[in-house]
Amino acid sequence: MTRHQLLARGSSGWLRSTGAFAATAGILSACVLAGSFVPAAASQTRATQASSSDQTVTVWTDGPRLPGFKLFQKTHPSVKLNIVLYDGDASADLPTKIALYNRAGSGWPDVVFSGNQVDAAWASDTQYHFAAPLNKGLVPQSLLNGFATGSLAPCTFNGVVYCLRNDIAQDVLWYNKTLMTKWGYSVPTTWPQYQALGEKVAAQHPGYIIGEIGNTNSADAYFAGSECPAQELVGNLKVEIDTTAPDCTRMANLLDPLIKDGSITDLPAGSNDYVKKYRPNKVLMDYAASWYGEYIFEDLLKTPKGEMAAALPPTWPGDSYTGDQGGGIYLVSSHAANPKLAAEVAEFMATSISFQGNPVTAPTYPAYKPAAAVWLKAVNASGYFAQSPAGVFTVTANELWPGWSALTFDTDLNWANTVVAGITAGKSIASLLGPWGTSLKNQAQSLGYSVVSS
Amino acid sequence: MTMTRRRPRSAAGYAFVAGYVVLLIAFGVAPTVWALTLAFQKSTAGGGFAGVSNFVRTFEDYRFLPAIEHTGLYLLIWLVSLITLVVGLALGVHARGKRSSSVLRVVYYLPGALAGAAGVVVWLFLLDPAVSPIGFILRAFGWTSLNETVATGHLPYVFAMMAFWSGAGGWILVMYGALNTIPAELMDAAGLDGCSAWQLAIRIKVPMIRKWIAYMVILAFATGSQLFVEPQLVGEASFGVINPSWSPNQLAYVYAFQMDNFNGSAAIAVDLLVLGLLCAALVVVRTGLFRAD
Repeated sequence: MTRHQLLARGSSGWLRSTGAFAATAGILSACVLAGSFVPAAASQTRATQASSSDQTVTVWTDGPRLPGFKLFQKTHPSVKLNIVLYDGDASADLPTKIALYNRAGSGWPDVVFSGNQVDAAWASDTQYHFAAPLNKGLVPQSLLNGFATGSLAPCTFNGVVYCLRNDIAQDVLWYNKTLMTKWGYSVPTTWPQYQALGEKVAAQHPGYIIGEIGNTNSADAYFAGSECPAQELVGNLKVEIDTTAPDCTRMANLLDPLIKDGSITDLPAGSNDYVKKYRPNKVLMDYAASWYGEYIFEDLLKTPKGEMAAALPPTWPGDSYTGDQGGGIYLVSSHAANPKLAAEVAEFMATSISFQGNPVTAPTYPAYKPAAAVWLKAVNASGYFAQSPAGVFTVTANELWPGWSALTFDTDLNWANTVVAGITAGKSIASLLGPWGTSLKNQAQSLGYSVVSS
Repeated sequence: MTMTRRRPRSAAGYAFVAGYVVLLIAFGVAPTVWALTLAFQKSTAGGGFAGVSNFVRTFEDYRFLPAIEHTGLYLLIWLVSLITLVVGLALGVHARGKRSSSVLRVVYYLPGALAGAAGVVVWLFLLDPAVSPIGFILRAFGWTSLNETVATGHLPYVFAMMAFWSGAGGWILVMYGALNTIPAELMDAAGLDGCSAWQLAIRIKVPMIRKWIAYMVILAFATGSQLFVEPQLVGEASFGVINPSWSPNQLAYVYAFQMDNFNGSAAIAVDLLVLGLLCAALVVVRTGLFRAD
């Protein structure tokens, strides 16, 4: 679960069906809702656009990105931004609305921020046909080259780039420096060392954890970092799903004993149970996204200032990839009346130093390298961390495993309702790898993918 | 005289039902007709008559039968508990004195005053051992986190509890109203014949409100088979551990908005409509609901 999702959970309860006709009425109420969502300016079709309205861009954004769009408006007074707020966690919202606009033949927004990379996949497919290709003249290649290595992989399908990345949620090894020093532990640099430390912690300091596996997106950390081919696009609508491959089982076998001895928790970070149990500093270590520092440790767990630090993730022999838990994107509509201007807005949001370079307005790690360089200088300005995580962030931002592709469905949910549900019921991850793969395969095939296994 | 009097009276009648008819057509009949049309078409743009292919495709979907199973078990639990507890509680209220029964009626009705989604949110707190006021009960069962409480096997029971909690109060009042229509002399006569309170309830009162019970079963089956908001919200709150196509109505939603397949979605909606109509027909025939006395 991304930061955005954490904030946006529980917002789609409007489709309450009552009465004998409700299942069908559900579709209609969705239309009604989508209708009420459309700002007046967005319902103009391309043909009816006057030249003045070519300077109008309709954008959909969540709250945290609002300051960026406002900054664009302030610095570009000739452009009229029509800003629409939505929850930004588009796992259901955005495809719902785009599907309805596609049916109506009008109403699309020009630029959309989404907190969920899955949106790039369906929005660019031939069925939805919403996202405009960006590297075919809309956005200069030189600008695209400025994004961190691998960060545009979830935006790229068959060599065409369909979105700009807002931020990266690269996984690092967070650790409590104060406790590690006090107990005489050294930070593990390989996964076997990580496992050994977990066993030591379980024996010597029960109640403390070195990781969490119960999140919707825990697979994006541990299994992407292990290069497990669970969702790797290998061609057009062709996906490799092989969750029992050695690169998957090695991680499952490493985690299972640690879950059993309690040094890795199955409670989702951010859940009430987790916060209650591990506040303020029962997290000795966590392999987790860069945004955990501020949002989980500082805000939720209230771990005291000066204790937490980030290290490079443990490695497998010969590999140095890491996972990526989230990261927002900007989509430009293929229906935009003024595609060039719409792309300019998205470019500003993803790359401008004035917005992305400032941790106050852009609290998560910028995907665009020149902005990240400025952002990093201010990242530990408050002195919360025991040492600046800047160096670790910079290295890991370029180590994202490109094999963890974005598919047209939210693969995190398959992980959660097979593996996490199974762990909660006391099963081992190793025994759940098969069902996880089956769940992914079934859903991929139902959406038109051909599935291969290694 | 009778002619001139009849006319305004019937006009008033039409005026009274007009508002309902308009809403019924707009939000009941029209979407149903639309869904029926979509269900038999190849694509939303028309695309020609598809026969039963949308029904076959959705039926063969790997998620369809599990969703039917989940909802079937939920319906069984819910309907049985609804009938026994609602009728039982209504009889209890009816048998009590006027003052205590009016207090009880308000208490029963209160949870129903919370609209569907708000009710689910209340339950999210109740089910999470970390924040729940009844956390000690959950922990007694060995459930120490929300994800343990809403484990797959518990869900039909959890949703049945939610539905009962939010929906039963209204029905208790309806049944209580129905019980009040039983003529007092009939019950007096039964009392004179030596009928005990228990016999009075089972032999006299329940048969007399049979049609209201049938009516409740029809509506409860229709709403229950279309379960959506409970699994959807609990699924989101529990960090995704609940299958997003747990119920058939959720699967219809997935078809429409994740797969952009409105025709498949409509086919599932029509399945549910047919199921609801079959249940209604069965209950009507077996209980003589429409039979004039």
